[in-house]
Amino acid sequence: MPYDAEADAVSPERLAGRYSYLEREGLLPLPAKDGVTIVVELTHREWAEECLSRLLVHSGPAVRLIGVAMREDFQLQPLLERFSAEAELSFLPYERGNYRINEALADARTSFIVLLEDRVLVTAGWLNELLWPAIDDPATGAMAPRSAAEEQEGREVLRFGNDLELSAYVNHQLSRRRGEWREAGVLSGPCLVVTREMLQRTGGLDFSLRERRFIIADWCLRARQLGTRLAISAASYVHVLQPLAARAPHKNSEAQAAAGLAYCAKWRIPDERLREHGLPVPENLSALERQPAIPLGKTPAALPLVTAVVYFEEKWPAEASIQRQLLLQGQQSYGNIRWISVRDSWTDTTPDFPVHERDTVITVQGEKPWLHALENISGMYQSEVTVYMSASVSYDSEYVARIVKALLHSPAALIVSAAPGLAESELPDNPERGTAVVLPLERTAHRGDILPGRIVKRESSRRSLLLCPGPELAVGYIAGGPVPGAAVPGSTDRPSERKGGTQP
Amino acid sequence: MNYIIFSGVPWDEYGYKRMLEVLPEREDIVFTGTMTSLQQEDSGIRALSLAEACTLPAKEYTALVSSPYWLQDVLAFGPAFIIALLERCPEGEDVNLWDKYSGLLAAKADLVGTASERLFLEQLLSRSGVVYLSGDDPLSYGMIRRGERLYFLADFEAVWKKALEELWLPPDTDCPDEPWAEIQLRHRADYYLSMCGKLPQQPTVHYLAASYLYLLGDGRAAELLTKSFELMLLHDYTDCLHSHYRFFSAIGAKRGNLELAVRQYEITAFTAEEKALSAQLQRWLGSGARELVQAELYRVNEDSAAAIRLLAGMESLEAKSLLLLNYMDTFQWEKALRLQQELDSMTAEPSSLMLFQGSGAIASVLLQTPVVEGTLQLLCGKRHAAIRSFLRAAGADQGARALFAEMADLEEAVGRLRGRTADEDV
Repeated sequence: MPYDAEADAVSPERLAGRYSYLEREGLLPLPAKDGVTIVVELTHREWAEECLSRLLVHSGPAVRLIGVAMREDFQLQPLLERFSAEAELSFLPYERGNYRINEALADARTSFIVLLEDRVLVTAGWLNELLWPAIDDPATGAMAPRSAAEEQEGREVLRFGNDLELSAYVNHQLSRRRGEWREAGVLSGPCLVVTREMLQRTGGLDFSLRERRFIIADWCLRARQLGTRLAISAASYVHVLQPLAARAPHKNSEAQAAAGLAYCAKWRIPDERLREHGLPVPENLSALERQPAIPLGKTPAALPLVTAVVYFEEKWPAEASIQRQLLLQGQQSYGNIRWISVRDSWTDTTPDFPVHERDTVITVQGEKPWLHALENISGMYQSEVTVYMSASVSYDSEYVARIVKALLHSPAALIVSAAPGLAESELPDNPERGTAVVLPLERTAHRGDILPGRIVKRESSRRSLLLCPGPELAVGYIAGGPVPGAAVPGSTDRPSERKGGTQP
Repeated sequence: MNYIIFSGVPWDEYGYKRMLEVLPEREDIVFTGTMTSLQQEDSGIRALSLAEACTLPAKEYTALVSSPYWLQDVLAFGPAFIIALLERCPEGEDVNLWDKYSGLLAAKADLVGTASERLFLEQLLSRSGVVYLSGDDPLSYGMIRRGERLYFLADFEAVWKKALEELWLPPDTDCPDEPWAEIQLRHRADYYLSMCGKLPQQPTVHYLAASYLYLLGDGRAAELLTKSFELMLLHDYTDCLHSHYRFFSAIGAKRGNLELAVRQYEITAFTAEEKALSAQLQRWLGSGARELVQAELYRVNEDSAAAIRLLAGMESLEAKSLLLLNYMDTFQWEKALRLQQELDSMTAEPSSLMLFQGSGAIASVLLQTPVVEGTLQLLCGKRHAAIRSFLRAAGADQGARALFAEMADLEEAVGRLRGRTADEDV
């Protein structure tokens, strides 16, 4: 019997069947040639691992994942260990006052970016369907799957006993409603896909609104003001876990109320509409003044100001000291540092340091004024924390962030970072109170509101310095940074606090 | 964690299979009775006869007990923890016997679970550590992975998991999360509050909302109870004075408004005993014994759990005798016996206990002592000692025949139970 090519060519069922097979077998690439970046908000330690595992398994090879710790008490270390072999997964540790989601979004270089909470569990084929609306209609810039935590059109509350039931439902929906999506007025759920083009135009998320649903809705409304469309995929569903204690009204109720009021004020929505079921949205968005874009990237203003005092023990040539200073500045990841350089130069004239407005170079002549300047810097420049760094020492990029974090979360007045590679268990023993102690200045930081003590030269060393803190000051210790060349640990141990200090 | 199941029915009919799937850190699971090899393979649970099960290292196992007639065997086994899975009396069983031994099982248990909301509420009023094993919320409140399979947890399953975990690892007191029991009460209260919106003319949903809010100490309880009481009257349910109106006195007691609470109780006091108690409450109010008033208002509203919490730290003779009543009501009979011995040593004449109270409750408790002793001896396998205690009780009220009949009924029920779970053809 002759082959009827014409009959086959017009069989959409056959094509659909083939497409379905390719997708089911994971043979179809994502419709994004540069891949997809998935930013995962890490909040629930008991769910994060499963969430990340499923994302790695079900999202295809062309994805890059960035896990962002959203809470101070979120332990990244177990995840770092669990996923150490996953090259496409990286993490951003928590930073107080810095909403690092915007930093992660700014780093994303792919055409599509997904923002997703770690309580979302995805299944095979989840991502593909979420990208197509932006390709079907280029005016569509943000898409979401249906889920129990979406509040408007995309809300779908379903009970599943286990992952088999979930997969069966998802596969059925995918086969029945593939390609279906509809426009939405607002999205506020735990999984949002945006195009990079739209993200750049709309800017980052407004974390001043504090509550996530308002933050996401606000971004969507700003995007709509720029003419973009929002879409809910009818074929795509993600399962969302609810925290058991989340409905406790006494917890954060004031903060929640404030977040709601701030959102309503921003979008000129009467406050009483907060009492309605679901998320309130402005009735006539086009009549409202256009909201400004939120800058993507770091938010240095929100970070406590740190004074980093760089001291040059040797008489560095001017050019070399500039290079060294720039290297130190460029390496540190912490986003709000005022750099103070203290140089002793009998012979050099002050070089032209390319400094920012708030940075300072102090050049003295002679060792005594050099030490005197170092001792008094904390009184001269007000900041939350003063960190001393030697120009002769190498620091890892997280050094300032780590020691500042430790100091901000410790009752100690001073924090000493142990030598690189030294673990918490190897930290010096607790000396008796009142014992004369000295600290290695190049690895010491102190609170900005204290006078740290005397600075002296280390014996048998040319100009290496030691800090002799007052006996009333509590000294905390943190483990050392990584040995150069070793893997970077993701989180810093809490400091062990002791009074006094350590023997040299 | 290892678990051993003492079921009231064969494996085929066992109603807690899903709860077994979501046991935390599940290791060895033993079903006491018979299962086919296919059933064992599918479920990952092994079956042992009672005799075989008794050779297991008991202190490494938590017992899940879903028939009160296993109580003697469970106590003899001596597991690390006992979890009572309470059910309504099945058809064909003696209700009085079932309820009595269910009460004793619950009192012996470290955790009580039930899929009956009525039993749940009754148990909440008797003790702490009670989990409701059912619910209507479709959302997932967590997950548990077992091998390749991922199980999503309904709210009550997540509470069940948390409650079991805390048996082995008590919560961190330095950084306490919201207790699981409170979380579950809040979920139930939220559910009934939402139902009130959907069924504004339904008195029962308002009453249940009021009950959960009362247990949470939420001030909205009175408002919901008022609505429920009004609806009852509107629907011509005229017998709601005792069932509904008296509940106001418990709410008032919890809020410390004792004068009003006592007046509310007085309105519902019809029998001579109730009227005598009402007069006693007034006397205590007059003498400033407010905690006794509060405790008795809890007790007459069947909230012995709240009364026990209040009285347990008090030293007076009156407080201890009220505590004794509450222990008796909630089947905490070993505590009751110990307390009675303590009271005996405090008072020269046992009758002095009866005089102050002004009601027959204490007298009745004193008369029941040999029955209580006999029952506890029976549960511990001391059959002859139990018979002696029952004979001693018979001397007081000539009730030996009934007690021996109950003993025989229990033995028959235990025999039937063992037959059901062990003698199935495999």
